[in-house]
Amino acid sequence: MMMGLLSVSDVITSESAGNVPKGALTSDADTNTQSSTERALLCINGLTLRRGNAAVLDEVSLTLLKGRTLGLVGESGAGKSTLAMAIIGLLMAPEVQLTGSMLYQEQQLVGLSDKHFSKLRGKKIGLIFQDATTSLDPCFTIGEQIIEPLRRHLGLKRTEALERAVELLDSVGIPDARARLSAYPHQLSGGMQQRVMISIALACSPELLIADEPTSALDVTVQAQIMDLILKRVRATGASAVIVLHDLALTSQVCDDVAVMYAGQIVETGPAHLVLEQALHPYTIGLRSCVVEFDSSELVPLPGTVPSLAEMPSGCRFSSRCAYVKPKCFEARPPLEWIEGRWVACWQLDAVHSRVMR
Amino acid sequence: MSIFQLLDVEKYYVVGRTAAGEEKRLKALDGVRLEIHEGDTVALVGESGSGKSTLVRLMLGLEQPTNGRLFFRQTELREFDRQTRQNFAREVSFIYQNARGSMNPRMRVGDILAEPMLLFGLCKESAARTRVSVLLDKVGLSASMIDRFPAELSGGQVRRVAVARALASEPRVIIADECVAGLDVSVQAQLLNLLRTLCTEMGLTLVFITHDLGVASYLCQRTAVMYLGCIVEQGPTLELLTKPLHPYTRALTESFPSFERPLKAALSGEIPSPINLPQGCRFSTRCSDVKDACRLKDPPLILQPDGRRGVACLFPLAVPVEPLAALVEVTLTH
Amino acid sequence: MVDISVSSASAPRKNSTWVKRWWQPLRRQPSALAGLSIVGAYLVLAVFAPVFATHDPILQDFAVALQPPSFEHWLGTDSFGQDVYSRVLYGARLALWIGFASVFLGLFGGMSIGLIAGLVGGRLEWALMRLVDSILAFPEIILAMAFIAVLGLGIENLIYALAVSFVGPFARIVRSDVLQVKALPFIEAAQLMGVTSWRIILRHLIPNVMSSLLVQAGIRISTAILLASGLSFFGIGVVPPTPDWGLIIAEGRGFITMAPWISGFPGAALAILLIGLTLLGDGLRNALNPSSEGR
Repeated sequence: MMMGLLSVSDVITSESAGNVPKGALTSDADTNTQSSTERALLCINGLTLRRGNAAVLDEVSLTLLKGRTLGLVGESGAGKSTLAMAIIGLLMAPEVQLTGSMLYQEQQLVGLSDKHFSKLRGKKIGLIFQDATTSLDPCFTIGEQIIEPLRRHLGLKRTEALERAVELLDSVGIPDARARLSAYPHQLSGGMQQRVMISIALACSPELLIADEPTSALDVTVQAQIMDLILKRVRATGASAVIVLHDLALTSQVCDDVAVMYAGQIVETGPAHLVLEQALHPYTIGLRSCVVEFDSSELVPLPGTVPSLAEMPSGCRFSSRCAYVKPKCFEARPPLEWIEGRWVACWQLDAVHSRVMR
Repeated sequence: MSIFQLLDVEKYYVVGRTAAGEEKRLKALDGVRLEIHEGDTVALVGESGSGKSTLVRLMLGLEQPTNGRLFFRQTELREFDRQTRQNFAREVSFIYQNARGSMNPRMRVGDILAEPMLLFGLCKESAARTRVSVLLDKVGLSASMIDRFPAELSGGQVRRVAVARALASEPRVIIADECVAGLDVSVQAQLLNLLRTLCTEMGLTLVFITHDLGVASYLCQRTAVMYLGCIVEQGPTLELLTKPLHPYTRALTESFPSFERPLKAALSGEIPSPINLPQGCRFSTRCSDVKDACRLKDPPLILQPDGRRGVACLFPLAVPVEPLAALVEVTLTH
Repeated sequence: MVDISVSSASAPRKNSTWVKRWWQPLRRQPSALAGLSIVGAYLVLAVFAPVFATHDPILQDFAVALQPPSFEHWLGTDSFGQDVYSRVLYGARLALWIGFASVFLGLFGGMSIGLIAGLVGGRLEWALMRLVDSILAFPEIILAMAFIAVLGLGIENLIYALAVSFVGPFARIVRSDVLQVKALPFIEAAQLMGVTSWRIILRHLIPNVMSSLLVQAGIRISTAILLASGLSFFGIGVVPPTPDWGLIIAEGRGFITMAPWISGFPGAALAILLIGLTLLGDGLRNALNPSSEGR
């Protein structure tokens, strides 16, 4: 891994970088702050989600710019699906308590009523779930399920909506689209069902697409097809996307930017290639060395497992498993700092840096 | 020393009749030829519908092939008597994909692990607890697990217990069905390292079903790629992945996410139904290099001259030195 | 090797898991605890009825007939001069005995049929299930009445009659549970290992069928008690002067306006016991259901 010549003391912290929004995923550190806020589609600041006593999401901050795809990676319990669900308003009071700020263009999403959210969902924000088989209603035909958002949000008449549905199915690569309108979900294969889900999500040309592990349940060749499709459709419409993935290699190829999450916090975020291949945070480094590739000689797994929320260490949450841990790590949570083109939260970056350089 | 020999094994299920009254057959396996020797580590790679799970069920004797012959140490599985069956059960252990489901939820871990030991008479009941502790230690679990129930364990832990149970009978062969799928990467890495160490330390023969090429390359020296009930390519794993001979293998390797290569949708279309296999080569409907001859003849698995690799393709990707090597007949020493 | 044990719990004792599985989830539900205390109280009173009773329950004394509750007779007397309190107490004993015994017998019969049907399958399963269907075609009370008609009155016959009507539901439950469990991977895993069929049935199959079955059995106890009381009320259950709640209620029927305590107290006792059993049964069912809120 080639590290830049910056040492930790040269770091631009969030305070001194003017008003660069925390987590702003600009590759050029001194981009005009004005334009980056203009281009921001989704601005999350200090979002905390509590379920009972436990903070499932803990002061999450990140920015999604227009036209860019952001990958959320992490292991189970990291909170990536929770974050995705919170953005789209599927997790609200009274089951959970949300504090902090989530700005979608100028609209505050925290505290938004379900009624207002449902105006956004389908129209401005599209959603793709992991398992198409359970997300598609088995009692209704494909056609019925696609025209529902079209009629609801765009106000199309039934015949118009059906025509548009045929176009949509065509655009996602479903052969014989017109005939398929009257098919039921169970009559389609897994890959086909997922394509239908994508077409429903994209039906009203949303500005933001949220996908929760869209290809985890699919075979690898189908996965490649589906991810390729999602990317093409997203790029064609200039939409942004937040994609929750567990496959790091896939994330590096599919997403412009990535946010690595651990135990409800973002530990590192920035351009995908940079973060995943030249990782700075010990957790990201650890994850990277666990990925099995064709030429992996030795996998170096991270010791232990993610502690439960009740047993979370004080200070940095990763301290109980970190190879670089020092006493300071137990005292306070490290803030996200802008270093070498990405945001990373770690007290021991100097040590990590020098160890990697050797 | 040959452990498993499969000769033209076929397995099909009758799923109804056509309008003309003929049987509709679901061909789960359509002629498989495979030989596994002692100490081999073989990966069976394929996507859904490839038949890899069916193949393993036949190898375990859970079902019988419709056609073809299956041998374990030169004895046909169909002709196992009671004693051979018991020896087989002891020598060959199976790790299920659903590790938690493969354990009795009402039994404690200690009892689950002791069951095979006591069954095969490997130790007395009094000594069982100590042996179980040793076994747990081998798979990296503490002895306090003995009194727990499977429901209390995490996903990674329960898989380790499954591995431990497979080892409890002191087997020579371990067959595993996707036993690292669905785990977090770090837990998966821990488990993979464990399996690798155990296989080298104990000289085990490993047959590993997986859809993940990376896992196959990490654990197994040899790989057999399956598609729609047939082995389409087999050979040393690394060679197979870096220089594939069959277009399907190439598509698999290209679809596998990698940090270096951009994502490519290498394969279009859907997998055909095993009830209605394509005419000629089963891969002809999706192959990017398909030629007319491919739709006429179904290519058999042909071993390359060096005997290391086999491919079932009329026009393999790298032209071998001698295009059509003779099919190596498997001789049986009875 | 890295030790990845999840919790730092102390070394578990043999019964701590029993505690975790049954007691703790139960404890979290106030209704289940209420049920448990009610049933517990009744059990104590029933077992120690001879100790708690003030009079002989079948001793008749016409001189003190139809007296309201007093210091001498805590719940009054009935038309035969029998002490209502002592009769209610012994009635609890009888009710619980009939309830447990009939359910236990029915469980035994139903389990045998269900096990055989589920394990053997084929024609035998078909035949057994049709037999069960025919039993289930009759409402439980009608079936019980029919058996009483054949066998005659009395506590034992009542128990047998009720047991027969329970065989049907239990057989069905056991058979479907057996079919479900039979298909689970760990049964196949045991077969692969070469475990003998008997051992698979005893060690792997039955324990996994039992727990939901026991909860069903618990729920049926209240049905049994209600049925027994009902039959006795109609005069086709126990023989007078056996202190059975239904019988006492029937005896007090003619005196409802004059001496409501004769029917009132056994009626209340019956109602409270049934409520307690229902609460407990619900609590147990929730406790054993891993996806419910109790956990």
